[in-house]
Parts: sequence; C-alpha cells; structure tokens
Amino acid sequence: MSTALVRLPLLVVTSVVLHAAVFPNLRVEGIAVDFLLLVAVCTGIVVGPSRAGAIGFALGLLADCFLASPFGLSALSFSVTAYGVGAFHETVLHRARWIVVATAAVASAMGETLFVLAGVVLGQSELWSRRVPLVVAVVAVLNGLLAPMVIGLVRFGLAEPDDAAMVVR
Amino acid sequence: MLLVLLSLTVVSVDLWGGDTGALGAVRGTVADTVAPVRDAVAAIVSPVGDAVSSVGNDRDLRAENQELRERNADLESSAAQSEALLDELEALRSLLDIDFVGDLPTVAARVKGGGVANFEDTVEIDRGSDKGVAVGNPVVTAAGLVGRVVSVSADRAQVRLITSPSSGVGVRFPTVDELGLAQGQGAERPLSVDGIHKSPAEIRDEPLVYTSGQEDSLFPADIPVGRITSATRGPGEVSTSVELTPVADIDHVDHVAVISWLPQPGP
Repeated sequence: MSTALVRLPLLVVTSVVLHAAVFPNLRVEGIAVDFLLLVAVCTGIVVGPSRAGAIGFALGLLADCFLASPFGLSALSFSVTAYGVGAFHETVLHRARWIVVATAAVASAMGETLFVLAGVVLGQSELWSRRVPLVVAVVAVLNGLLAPMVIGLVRFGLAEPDDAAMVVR
Repeated sequence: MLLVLLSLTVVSVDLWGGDTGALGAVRGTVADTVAPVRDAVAAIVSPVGDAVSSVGNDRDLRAENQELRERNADLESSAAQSEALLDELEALRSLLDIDFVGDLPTVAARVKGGGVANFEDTVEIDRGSDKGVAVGNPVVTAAGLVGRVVSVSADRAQVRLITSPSSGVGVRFPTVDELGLAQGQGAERPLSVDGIHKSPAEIRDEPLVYTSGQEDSLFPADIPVGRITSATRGPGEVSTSVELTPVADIDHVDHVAVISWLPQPGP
C-alpha cells in the first residue's frame, strides 16, 4: 500500500483536530490560529499552484463545516489563497525560512480578508465589523509563526521531499 | 477559475438550501462526527488556553488569583462536588421557570465550548434539531439574552453571542420609551447603542434594557438584554452613545434555554 494513502488521511485528520478542537481553546485576544488556512497556504509553498488550489478547496470545505457562514466561502478563499501562494512561490529563488514565515503571514492575512470580502459581496454583511483588522493581523502573526512546523507536516502528508534549495538562516 | 466557480456554486446552493439542504446535512454530519473529539480535546486544552489568555494581563491575573484563593477557601469548607451538582441543578431549575419567556416552549442545553470562528463570537450547545432547536431560535439564561442559534446539526447547535461584533439586537429603553440597536463589540466588552435621542441623564435612570420585539425583530419582545454602564454625548453631538453590560454572564455561561420562537417574516 502506498504511504501516500496513509499519510494524506493522517494529515487531514490531524489538521481538522488541531483546527476544530485544539486551537479554538488557545486564543490570543479571542482570536485563534486558522489552522486549515495555514495548511492550505503551506500546501501552496510545497506543491505549487494547481494542486494547492484543489487541496485548498477541499480544506476550505472542511473548515466550512464548523462555521455558520455559507458553505463554500472558506473553500473559495482557501483555494484562491493557496493557488496564489503556489504561483508566487514558484517565482521565489531564495527559499530562506523567513520567506516562508513572511509568505504564510501575508497569505493568511489575504485569505482572511478575502473570506470577509467575499462574504460581504455574497450578502453576509454581518461578517464585517471593526474587529476584522485585528483578527486579520493576529491570524497573520500566529499562522506565520507556525508555518515552519506546518510546512514539515504538509511535506510529510503529501509525501513531498524536503526542498533541497531551502536555506535555513 | 474552475475552483472559484465551483466555490461560488457551493455557496449559492447552500444559501438557497439553508440548513435543511444537502450541504447543511453534510455540515451537520461532519460537525457531529468531530464533536466527541472536540469535547475530549477541549477538556485537556482548555486549562492551557486559560493560561495563555491570562498572559500579559498581570492586573487581571492578580485579581483572578485573589478571587481563586477566596474561592478555594470556600470550597474547602464544604463538599465541593455536591455543591457543584447543586449549582447545576439550580441552574437547570432556573431555566424551567423564566418569567420573561412566558408561554413559549424552551429547550434546556449545556454549553459545550467556544466556536471555531474568528469573525464572530459563538458557543456550541449540546442540543440540536433532534430536540427541536432551529436556526433563528433565541437563547437565554434566567438572567437575560445570550444570543441566537445560527447553525444546527442533529445534536449540536452554534449560538452567535450578542457580544459578537456581527450581532445586533433591537432594544427598548422602557422608561423613556426609546428604541436602539445594541451592537456587539467582542468578548468581555460592552454592547454599544448609538443614536439615542434622550439625554445621558435621562438614559442613565433606566434600570434595564429589553429586546424591542419590533416587526422583523430577531428576538421576541421584553427579554432583558443589559444594564447601562455609561451614557455619553460629546460636545456638539445631537445623540447619546450608550454602553450596556449584558445581564447574562455571557463569558461564563454553562447552561442556557433555547426558546422555540422564530422571527416573524414581514408583510
């Protein structure tokens, strides 16, 4: 049996448990890590835009199962974000760890913002409040800090080899 | 582009079908499946989370520490376990006889924990559609309004708290007969009501603020919402801004009653 058949479900289950059960109890200013978004972002870094978009879509659907907002809203923001990260990261020659952290932070901020904007455009005006910028900023910082570890988890789950060009600084 | 179209299709199908549609069923099934794991993990992680939340808030920590010492002394003088059970019994009993609910049927529920969402403050309760809970039902304690059910599965429901920034409650100041919209500002923060015509002095005399129950209101009338903690009007302003502290202890609520009432559609 291919190890991918074991690793991928393991990645998904671990991610869902961390997203829905662990991080909601570890909040900063009432704001939790958006772990499934972070996994989608890291997927973009690891496997490139096309696969990351599809995986981001699937992860977004899972995230939507735990929200009261319309089903598919996270799928939209995660897939677009993961695709964008994949496309951007293909152009990056330097693979220093700080670039991974910065990419995850900025992409997480964009993903959260896209979620709210898409929701408002689709009639969910209650998603917008004065607290949104704080949420976006805190999620960006937390996701950025966790990114180096999650990159390893994603590489394991997708059975991708470590990036030989990545320079740890 | 294909994924974007697919996402928009899913959103459209969900908005069209609501919680009774196929996607609502999928969401409910996944939420119910993961719920036992969430409960088990939350029991382990919550104390750590409380510690994380208290870091950087030294003054609160000292006050809380003092409070905990006092509480510990109290508990040592009595049988802690039986006291907790009696408290729970009392909480449940109080939910059976809530004056402001009137004849409306209610479903008692236990709060299982906070929600996953970042953009709105929600809690999860252990009663769902199997017990008659539906999206839109108001949720209260014996003291007053807590929130509103925003999603439901077979045996769980998510409640958007009135302190959520995405929550707005139509309220009435009964003595001065003025209406307003109480907007949430986040956990542990007061509700804010802007655009009140009465002067701060007149408003401050109000003992309690209640749901207005106006046409198209999301809540029935006369549920206690909050107490006025401040009423201010800046120089040159023509309206008063009011802050309300919810009468229900929303940040520490354990048991709630779900009122089997749904907003009435307008004509």
